[in-house]
Amino acid sequence: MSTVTGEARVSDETTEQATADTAVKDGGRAGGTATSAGRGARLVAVGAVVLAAAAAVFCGVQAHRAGAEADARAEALAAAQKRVPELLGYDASTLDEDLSDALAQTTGEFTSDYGQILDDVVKPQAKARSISTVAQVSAAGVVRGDADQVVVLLFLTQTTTTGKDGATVAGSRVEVTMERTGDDWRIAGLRPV
Amino acid sequence: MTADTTSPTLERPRITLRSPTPGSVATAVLVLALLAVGGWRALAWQDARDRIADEKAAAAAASAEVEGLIDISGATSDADMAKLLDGATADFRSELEAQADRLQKALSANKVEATGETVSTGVVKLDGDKATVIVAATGTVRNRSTKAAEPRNYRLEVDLVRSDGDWLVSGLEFVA
Repeated sequence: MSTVTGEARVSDETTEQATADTAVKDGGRAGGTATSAGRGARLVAVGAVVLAAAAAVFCGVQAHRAGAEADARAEALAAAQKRVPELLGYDASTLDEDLSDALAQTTGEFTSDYGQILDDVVKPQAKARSISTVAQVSAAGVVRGDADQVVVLLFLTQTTTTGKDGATVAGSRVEVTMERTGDDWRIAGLRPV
Repeated sequence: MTADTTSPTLERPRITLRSPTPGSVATAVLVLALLAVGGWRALAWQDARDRIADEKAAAAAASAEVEGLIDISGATSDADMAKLLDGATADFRSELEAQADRLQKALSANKVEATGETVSTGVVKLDGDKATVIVAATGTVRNRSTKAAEPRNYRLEVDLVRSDGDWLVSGLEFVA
């Protein structure tokens, strides 16, 4: 086997040598043909490698992006179920602490928007009438999203006690916008539907 | 030298066929490897796209079935009832059918006019041919004892299974 290959190589070299000789003698005509055939083959090879590499890179990037979106949806859904009860729930006896904890669940402009609502409405009301509320997630699902922002639909059940009165229970539906902040997902918006 | 000038032209085809250079073998292997990697990633990409498409299709099917149930009155046509039944699996369909007649009679007897539409849907989970979707819907209900149409908010959890490419509702319940 190796002998055959050896022979082939030898004859190959001989041919090249002969071609080179001819090229000199015939003013490059025959040599030109051989070189352009070699160049053609090399071009095809380079082209095939480049195309295959481009296809692999393209599919790899797309698959990675799609995988990241799938991960984002799952992470954002889990984060929303954990953070929204923290955002909405507070106890009259630990009001300041609970409300600052609520703001810690938020990101972006929503932090100042929601902070305003807490300061202007929730805090004075809760203090004056000794209101406590607990929010539970009854069901949660992904509405839409990409790798950095995901909208989640939550069915909330809120139990509110006012002073010495009994508890009232209310159900609501909210669309929550979750945004990636580093490795974490925080609430960037909340809209009742 | 004169003999040499003709020999390369004669020998060339034989040489090209018989001796793939190490370079061309390596190139072929490289191209095949790249194509294999590309194909593997393309499949992963396709899977992810299919999943998104499945989620959308399941959510749309759940939404349509819910709207069929809450947008209903004594005047609801048989065609609309048939569409509602067609969106259900065999088991759920027979459950609906068992109540459909009685429901339609009750609706016309009480002059019930219910309207409603889906306002949001969320995919809870998707696992192959099974999906769970929550649907938030809003609507109005008017009957002979109400003066005006009363607003209603609905919270529903819908189970679906895929059969022959269509997502069918296999169960539906109100979330308390």
